Amino acid sequence: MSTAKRQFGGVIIAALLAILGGLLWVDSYSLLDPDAYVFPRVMIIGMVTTATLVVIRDLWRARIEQAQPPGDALRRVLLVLLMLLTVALIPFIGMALGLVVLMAAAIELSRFESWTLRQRLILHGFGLVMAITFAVVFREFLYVPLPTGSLWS
Amino acid sequence: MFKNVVKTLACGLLLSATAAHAQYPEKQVNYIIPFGPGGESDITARHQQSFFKDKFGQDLIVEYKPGGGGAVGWTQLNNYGGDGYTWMGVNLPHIVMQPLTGKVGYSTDDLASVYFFHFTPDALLVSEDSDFKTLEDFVAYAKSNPGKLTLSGSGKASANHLAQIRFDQMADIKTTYVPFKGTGAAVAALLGDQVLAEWGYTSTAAKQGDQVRMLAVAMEQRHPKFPDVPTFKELGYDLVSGAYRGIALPNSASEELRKEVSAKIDQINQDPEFRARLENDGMAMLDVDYEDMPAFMEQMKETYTNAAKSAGLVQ
Amino acid sequence: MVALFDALTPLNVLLALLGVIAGTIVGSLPGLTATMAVAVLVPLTFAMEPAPALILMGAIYTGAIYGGAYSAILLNTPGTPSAIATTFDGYPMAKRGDGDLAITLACIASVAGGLVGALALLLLAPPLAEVALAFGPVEYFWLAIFGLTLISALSKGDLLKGLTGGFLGLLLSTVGVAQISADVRFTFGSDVLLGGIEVVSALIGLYCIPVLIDLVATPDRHLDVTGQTRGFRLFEAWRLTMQNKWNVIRSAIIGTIVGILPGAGGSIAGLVAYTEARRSSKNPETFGTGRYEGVQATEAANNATVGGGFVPTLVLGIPGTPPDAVILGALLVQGVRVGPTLFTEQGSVVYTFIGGLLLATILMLPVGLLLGRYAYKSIINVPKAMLIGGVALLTVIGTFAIRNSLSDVAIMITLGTLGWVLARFGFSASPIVLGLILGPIAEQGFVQAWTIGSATENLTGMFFGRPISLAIIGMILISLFLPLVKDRLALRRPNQEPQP
Repeated sequence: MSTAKRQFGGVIIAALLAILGGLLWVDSYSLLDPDAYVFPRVMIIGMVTTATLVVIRDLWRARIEQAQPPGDALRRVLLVLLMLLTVALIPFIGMALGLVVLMAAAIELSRFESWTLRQRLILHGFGLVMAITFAVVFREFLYVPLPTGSLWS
Repeated sequence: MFKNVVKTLACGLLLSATAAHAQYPEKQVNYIIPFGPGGESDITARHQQSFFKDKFGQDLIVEYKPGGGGAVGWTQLNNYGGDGYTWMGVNLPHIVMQPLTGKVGYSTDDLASVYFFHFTPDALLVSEDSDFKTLEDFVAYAKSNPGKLTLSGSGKASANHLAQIRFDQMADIKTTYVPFKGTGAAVAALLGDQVLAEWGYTSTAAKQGDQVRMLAVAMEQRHPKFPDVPTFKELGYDLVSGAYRGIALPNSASEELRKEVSAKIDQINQDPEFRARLENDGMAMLDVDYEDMPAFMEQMKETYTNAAKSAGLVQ
Repeated sequence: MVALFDALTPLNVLLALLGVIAGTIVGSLPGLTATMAVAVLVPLTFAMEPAPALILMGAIYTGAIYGGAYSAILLNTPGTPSAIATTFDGYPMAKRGDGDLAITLACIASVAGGLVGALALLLLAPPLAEVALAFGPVEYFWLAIFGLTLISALSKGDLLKGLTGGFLGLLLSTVGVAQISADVRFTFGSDVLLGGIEVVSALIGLYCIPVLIDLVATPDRHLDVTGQTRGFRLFEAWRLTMQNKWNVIRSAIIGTIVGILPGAGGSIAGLVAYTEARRSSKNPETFGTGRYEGVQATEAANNATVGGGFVPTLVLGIPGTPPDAVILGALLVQGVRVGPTLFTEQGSVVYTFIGGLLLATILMLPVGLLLGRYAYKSIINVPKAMLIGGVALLTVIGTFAIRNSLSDVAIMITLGTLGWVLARFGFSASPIVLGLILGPIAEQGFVQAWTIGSATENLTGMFFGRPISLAIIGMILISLFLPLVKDRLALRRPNQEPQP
């Protein structure tokens, strides 16, 4: 069952890309200026052609994909969700606080062995310092206008 | 006793109102340029920065918010607080043309422009070894070779492009406009003989010096830095145009605040040294303040929309 | 020319040194580009004389281009776009324990490349400027196509999937407001995509996020350390550089030439030099597994663009690379008139500056080795939890800093996650990146050439009749067909084993 899934992963991606190409083609009809749609359309043709060839080739030859990558899939998903959540929160809590939260959560997410309280405190302590340092350096030395968060302004 | 309290309160209010009025700016102002660093909007902003500090004692901090040729910045302008401490650069024809030609997230009237402080006049340029010595040479060649006269310019539906459209109509000729990404690339194409001429600005000629020759400038009167170059008007074509730069506030800013900011920018604009600096860079001064704004914008919108329609850029 | 030695005043030496240090650190942080580093300093330079200001900005620029190699080698994330091709072989080298060697090699190559570029600026600026002008839209188009031939090398064995990725990247580059046509493309009405997909955030997403995603999933160490960290491995690196000096020199020349072309910068130079190094090696298929030549080629080429980029900037007033645009702006505000007269009327300024650039490049050797060692040791020794957290932080704030846009951060994360999924199923990230970077150049070149060609009624002559284009087309054909021809020839000789 999992072998079958693995074999068709590439096929599914290629098929999705071909469908995306179709959608973009339709969207290109909203463009008035020929200079605007010529290049994208040629690229769409290229992408849909190669993607279709991938689908045909992989279904024909039923390739065996690489093995499932080792490791904890849950942590992977959580990391991505965590980062997206941080981005969603930053307009409200500000960049500095967002970084602090992200750092603390990322540290916890990376824990594979058990930590003593002391280890935990050191790690989180350094993490906090790192997050604040980044925020300060970017704002004061590089003049990047970090979002300050609508909750506090 | 009660009357005294009322009088005191009234005096207090009056004083604090005028005090607040007189105190602007009380802290630093964030001046957001919707382009990346190094461009003309950046350079003029830097000039304004030093004069702002001298005159008003506060910092004018230049920030960049590039993307979409300015569209990203203008779409987000009204998300900022309207307390007068956030300014954003605005550019014509961009803020008129962008909403017309594409689905950007703002419309021209959404932007509360308070002042337009200069423009870089359009100019027709050729390289110094070109056969076109005068505007007549150019027009004559175009008439006998319709479509073959290639011109470079920065962007499509930009000031350069609109100048080409309008001039072609006025002179009843047909030239081919080749859009490039930025004035640097357009000039490189001219100097490298990839095209026969360029629709650029007077500031381009100021930068390139002897390597280019201006056939005409789109101004009311000749540019002080280039007294030998005729205006289009002198030669019979009513073309006065260019890329205009101004400042806008978020539209939540009050009328009073808009007038206040307009007055402050006007102060900088009247400074003779400021004017000299900008003119030395090849720009032309303009003093469109908040009072003149509605009429100015109407006129601009009409001119640009007509030109764009006749060229088929918009429906 | 005597003014060259004015660069050796104590102030200028100090500025060059500080500039290189600051630039290297900034360049090594993904999201912070050389352009940004220079832009931050611009207000400071208003208080300075032109020559010291130029030296400071040039030193930062040089350092930043080199610094990008650190995160490219250690985190598979180009610190600046110019270091993209450094990841191809630099990261595999780090994974097998040769990270310190890679960093030292990068340092030596960067210094060599920077010197070639600066010398070209000193001795050949006016004629090189003419060459820059001879490159018209057609030449840029063919150059972009040549860059795209690298897709076959980057496809990790599956050419069809690589091509699909390349087309996807080319398509993604069209999202947003089109410069060439004033239309808004493929945003589906959203404001998030109005600014298009920004290259640096896409790089961070596609290269760094997958690394993070894999790091968090297992308890394994990030990079192998084979025994003790053996000093700088300087002698080893020097020996390898001497063995491959032609590679380094050729790459530096490629970098200088790409640098003089307005609109083409370090990223293109690195990619083209990498392609050439790969093509001319005896075992091209081993590139991508950790070949020294790959790292050397890229780093020599990208630092050569620093000197090369100043050629059109100073001679023509047209910026050769994005940081040059900022520097040019700063000069204009100071009232310095660039152009051919700069070399004659203000010659002392220019020559002092070039002297400072040469000085900064040379200073990069000790500075780079020391900073590189520090970078290497910290990445090796830091606990993994801190590494993951720290890199995640950096990607977020670094991406934000590019255009002050939170949307870019969201795009970065999304693109990165999609990149991980695509890689999992055989679609590697590099062809997509290549398409994203070269797309605008290819499109603009094509549309402009088409417009001019149709107007002059000379389309075929336009695309196929110009000497420089023909040379580039020749290189494209060689690049595509030489490997096939080589294989054919090898098979024809029965007593020789075909190359594995």
